[in-house]
Amino acid sequence: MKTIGLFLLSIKEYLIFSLVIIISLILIFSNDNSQVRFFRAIAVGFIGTIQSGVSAVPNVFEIQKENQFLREKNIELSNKLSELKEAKLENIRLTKLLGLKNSNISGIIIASIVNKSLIQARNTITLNVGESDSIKINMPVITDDGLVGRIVSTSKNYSIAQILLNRNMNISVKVQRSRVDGILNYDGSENVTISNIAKSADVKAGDVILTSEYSNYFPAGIPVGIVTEEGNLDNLFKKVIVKPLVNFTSLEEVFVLKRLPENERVMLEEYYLQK
Amino acid sequence: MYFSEYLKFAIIFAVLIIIQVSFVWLISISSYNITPDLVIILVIYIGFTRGHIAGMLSGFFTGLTLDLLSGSFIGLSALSYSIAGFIAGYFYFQESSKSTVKRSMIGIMSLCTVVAYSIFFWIYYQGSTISFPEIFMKYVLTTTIYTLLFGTAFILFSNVIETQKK
Repeated sequence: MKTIGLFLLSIKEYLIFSLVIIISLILIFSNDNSQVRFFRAIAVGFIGTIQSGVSAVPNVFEIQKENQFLREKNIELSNKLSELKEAKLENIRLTKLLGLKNSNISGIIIASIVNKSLIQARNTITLNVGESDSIKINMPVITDDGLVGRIVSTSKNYSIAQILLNRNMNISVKVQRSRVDGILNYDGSENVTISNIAKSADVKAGDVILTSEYSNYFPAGIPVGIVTEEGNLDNLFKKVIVKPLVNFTSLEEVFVLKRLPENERVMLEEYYLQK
Repeated sequence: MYFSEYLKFAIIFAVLIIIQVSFVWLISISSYNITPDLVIILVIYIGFTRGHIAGMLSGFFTGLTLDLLSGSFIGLSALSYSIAGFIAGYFYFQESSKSTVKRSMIGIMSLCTVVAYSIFFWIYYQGSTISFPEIFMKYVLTTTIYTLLFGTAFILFSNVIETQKK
């Protein structure tokens, strides 16, 4: 016992280091952004490969038990699904009856930027409005030039907004002229890029980029930027570079739109993804 | 370390974090917003002068604070700073006032910063079109060099203080 204690004491640095690394990784993986999704995909793929190999060996004692459980679960889920379908239809009928389009509040709040934080490409701005001004997380931030970003954190009197030049921002956009859709994200330089645009799509330098109807967070039609360069990324997709319309270095005042993601739409999309 | 020493470092960290978050962007260079990292200098210094445990724990907690203040990707700075503090602990030398060791601190600082930022930016730019050599040239090296300028000033300053104490 004493020997084990002495051994553990001799490697205490490595034990604490392992603990710190594990906590950091848990925190990293508890984020929900594109980088973490990439790692999760790799991890799931890796684990899946191992598990598929292991699962090839059947456990005869467990199969009967599992079959019984799955049958019961199947009946339970079928009942729940039909209940949900009924509830959805009822919701649609009631919404029509009440004449409600959505439950969002309209209006804008004028805010001044009290701090700009440019930490390793995680660009954010701090605004002098907060929960006491009805600011909520995910509200869009704009200027008269175009889209700035969205609120990610709030306190009583202040709020933090992620700007376009942030790796965690992914925005559904479209080209105003040709109506081509794509996903806008920040590649780390002073511009932003649009991904998922087919090589054959009609996009030219000078085209205006707007937010699209597919975006959960932003209303459609807000100007985002102008295409400065377009070229081929690979055999399938184009690389489109966009210069934001908003000049973030001289930005002083912004408007926060009192608009929140449409709950019904978000819930439906999440429900579909979970199915 | 004694309690008063913990308190002293906590206050210095708090001041550095405030400067890092609120004012350092004013001296950012290039279109990639490269800024020096004042906090990692102190993390490495603590690892170098106080050992593995002090280095990695100070790195973890300050990194976590920076993550919380940035509002995104919580845990990433905590991970990279902890590793920087831990590596610095390998060069722990109790008689750190020896000039040869002091001189090598710039090299140690470079090594720790390069490793920490390689991990940080490699994870941060996953899923983007930028390749690792590009990330290394654009972000890791530039941030390291810019940080080392301040690190060198910090070492010279700590040398002057130690000389005055003697």
